[in-house]
Amino acid sequence: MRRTLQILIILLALCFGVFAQAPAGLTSLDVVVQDRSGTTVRNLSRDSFTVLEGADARDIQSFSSPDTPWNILLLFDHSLTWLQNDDNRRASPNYVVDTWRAMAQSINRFLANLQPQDRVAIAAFEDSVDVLMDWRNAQSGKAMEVRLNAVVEPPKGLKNLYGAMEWAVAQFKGAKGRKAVILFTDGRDGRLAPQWFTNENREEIFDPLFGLADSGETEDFRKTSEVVRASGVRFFFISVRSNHPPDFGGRPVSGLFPGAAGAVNDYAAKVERRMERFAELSHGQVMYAHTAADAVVGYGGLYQELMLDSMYTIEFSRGPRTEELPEQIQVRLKDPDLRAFYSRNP
Amino acid sequence: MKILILIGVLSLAQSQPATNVAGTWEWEGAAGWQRIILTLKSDGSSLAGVIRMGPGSHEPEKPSDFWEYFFDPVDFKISNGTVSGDRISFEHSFVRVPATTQTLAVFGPSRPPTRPADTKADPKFVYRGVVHADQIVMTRELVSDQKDAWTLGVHKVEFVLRRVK
Repeated sequence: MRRTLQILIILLALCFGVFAQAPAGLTSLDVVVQDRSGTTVRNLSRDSFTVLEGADARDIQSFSSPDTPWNILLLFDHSLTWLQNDDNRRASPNYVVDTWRAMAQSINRFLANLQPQDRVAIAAFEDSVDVLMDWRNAQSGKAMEVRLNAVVEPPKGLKNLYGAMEWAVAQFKGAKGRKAVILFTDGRDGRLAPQWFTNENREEIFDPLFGLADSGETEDFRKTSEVVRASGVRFFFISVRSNHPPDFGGRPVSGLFPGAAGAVNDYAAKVERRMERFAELSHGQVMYAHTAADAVVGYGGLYQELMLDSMYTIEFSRGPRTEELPEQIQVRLKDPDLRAFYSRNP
Repeated sequence: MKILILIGVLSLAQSQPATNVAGTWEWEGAAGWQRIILTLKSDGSSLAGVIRMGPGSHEPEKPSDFWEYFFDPVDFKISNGTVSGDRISFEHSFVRVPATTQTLAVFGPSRPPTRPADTKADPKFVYRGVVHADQIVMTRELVSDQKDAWTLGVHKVEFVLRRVK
């Protein structure tokens, strides 16, 4: 039973876009290896692997063992949007601060799981980015102190998720090893959000064009997507309550306007599609949490859940494209007692 | 010869008088509550008028539907309006309401929305339309003189207004 669960977890972790087009035109593939007892094997060399595309072996152009250091930026959506709609907030006046304190503890658990060769930094964003902890080597012996005042202050502008992602990519300049952003967010970039405005008499109106296709947002999304795709930085999203209806003062927009539920549902779906596309392009994934509490508790174990400590990354060139369906990719191991787990549907 | 014909057609198009866009135009969203009524007056190549946002065309049927605050229409006076051939353009400024103020203004103590402190100039919507008989294919673009944190991106939306007869 335990073995089955292990395999299921590995497959789930690997099935989200583990094939991606690497910046140099290479295809990237994450592989986890286990022996017959289900123990993860972390000390294989490049020669242990053969990559087949159909019947043809492909040269492995780049190989990273699980020991290859990770540079990990923990990026937090610091606005209250993922907390302010939480049902528990009304039960406790200190809910927001308490939640961040719990998150700080989870972050410390996450940091304790890093490998000594890894590097980590922490930042929070809303309209701009605030660095909470600059790059440092993992496990330097100190628990991380999140500057709470930086994450609970009211925003000074719309949530700029796309801008924060582009900022994040720039932080890896010159970094050696593998690169990842773990992005804790509800995904609601301000470009997508419903808008309110007033006329000169300060009469207020909810934008009646909310819900229509916005080509300006589409262009910004395309631009950020290109930055992400070309960066070689993986984006792992921890998405919190992204499908919750937009809320103003405790009343969802879908309840304010008869017939508005459709537009609100479209909005939530678009938010999730945007994150999933970023994840796909960057060779990352999106994990959805139903409640803030679930997300906070689960954060501490992310390093293992994402299998960053047991993942081989192999890059290879695929054969020339044809009109036919692409050939199946297979990974074979020299040792017949070992088993490789990877996505079979690139 | 073809070029001469093309030049002739273009010349003819340029000499055409501005399309008569005066009158009332309406757009209504599929959900029903979304509505824009555009009232235009033209004087040669200049255009004036009002763009009214909300409410939907149907009165709320039950008390729970009746959110007067949202269903009161709000008028924006248009400026810099022009019409040239079948092309029209105009704009209006607005004040964006930050989320925290929205909450207070709608559900809490009465407090007028204020411009965010770090915003020096009001953003504006610029509308550009192409008139086709009884409809206008309109593009609304958000333009801000200053890149401020409350005006994120361009926001370019297309919708079609129909003439109200």
